Amino acid sequence: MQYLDLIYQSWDELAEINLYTGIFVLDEPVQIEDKSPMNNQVNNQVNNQVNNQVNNLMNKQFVRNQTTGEK
Amino acid sequence: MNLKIIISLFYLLLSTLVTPVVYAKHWTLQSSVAQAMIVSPELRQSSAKIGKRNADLQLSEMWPDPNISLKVDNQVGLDTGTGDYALSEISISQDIPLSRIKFQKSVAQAQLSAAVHEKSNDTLVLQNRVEKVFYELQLATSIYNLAIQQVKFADRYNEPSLKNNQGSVVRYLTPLEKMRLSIIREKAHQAESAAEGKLQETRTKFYKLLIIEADDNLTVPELLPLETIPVLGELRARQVNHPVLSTQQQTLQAAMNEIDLARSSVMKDPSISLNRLRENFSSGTESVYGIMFNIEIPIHDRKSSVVSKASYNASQQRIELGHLKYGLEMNLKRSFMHLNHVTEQAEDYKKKVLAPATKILALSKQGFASGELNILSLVDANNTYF
Repeated sequence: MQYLDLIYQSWDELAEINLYTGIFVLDEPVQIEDKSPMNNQVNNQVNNQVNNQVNNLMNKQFVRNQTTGEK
Repeated sequence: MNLKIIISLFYLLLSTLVTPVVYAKHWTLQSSVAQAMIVSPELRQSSAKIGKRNADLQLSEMWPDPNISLKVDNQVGLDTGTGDYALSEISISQDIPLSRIKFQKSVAQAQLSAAVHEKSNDTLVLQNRVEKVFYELQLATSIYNLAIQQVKFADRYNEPSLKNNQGSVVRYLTPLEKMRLSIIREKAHQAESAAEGKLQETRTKFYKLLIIEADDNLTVPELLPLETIPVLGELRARQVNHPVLSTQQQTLQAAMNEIDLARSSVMKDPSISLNRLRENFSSGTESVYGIMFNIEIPIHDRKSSVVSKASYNASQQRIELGHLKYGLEMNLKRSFMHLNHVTEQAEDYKKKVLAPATKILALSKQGFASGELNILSLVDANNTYF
């Protein structure tokens, strides 16, 4: 039963990953790309900000894991 | 006599044909998602929103309708001495939204695009809900099947008299051993009842989500271990096109277009009017034609406040976009780490616990049947396996 629960948890987590990644089970809708230069500029700006934030946080987490040995 | 037999056979054949055959409906993840998408009220709402935004786009391109004014008075009649009332003035005016239309249209286009992406996101969320309930149903079904297996095992050792095949060992069970076996059986039945209850509960959730009739014969594929784990880099690359981000990007675009629209809408649209006036002259009553152009004089500075308001809104949308991206990335990383952890744990459990437990149970059954092992070994093996 515990084994079944672990298998279920792995599928459930995969469903979460699909949700956060935007992977559809059926018929992925057509993505409309916005080609306007203004939007691209805004996107790049936001992307850079987010990447920096995520990298900083992950670096901190990595340091903490190394220190505490926690997974 | 023969007639009676023929009639009986006829009724037998008829009853066979008329009796409904119950087919077990087999649901896969794909068929469940497809069913949910067909009946989902959320997706219908999203479609209605797209229709609304489409209508907004059409309206945004339209010019305002012209106005016509008619004036009836007795001015001419008084001049001529008759005092009659007559149509003295006709005026047609048209607002000219030259700069406003372009920005209005770009806002509506971005809002329409955002609505399309929002529908994609609603679809994704719905599919996720179905996925989760489907896996839950698979788990509940597997646990129920395991409970049935446990009951069969327990019942086998509680049968009043085992078959005394020639050459087999017949064991005498003490009252204490019989009580232990009875406890195993009762626990197995309790587990079966609990598993059945949970299965019914999950099935109800499944029927509710898919809006289908309750069907006790429905089946789902067996819950099998995950074979491959996706690569994080590929997932992150795909995340860029996430519908929630695309929706927010289009909302931000609409907010930025609203800044231009605010700039162009600060002043009232200019208008042009054509009019015809009946006037009395020395030569008689004549029609006088004129053209008039109206434009607002911007004495008070409303522009900066209106544009500032639109700019703050755009800024708010930009911050929200960053917030969403950050949230998605962090959630993806967390789920990915958890998935790896759970998968490893399942593999370890299979190798180190499940495989030995299966072997121990089989050996204990053999050992107990041959009289080599006592009841405690069997109880222990049963508890470890189930």
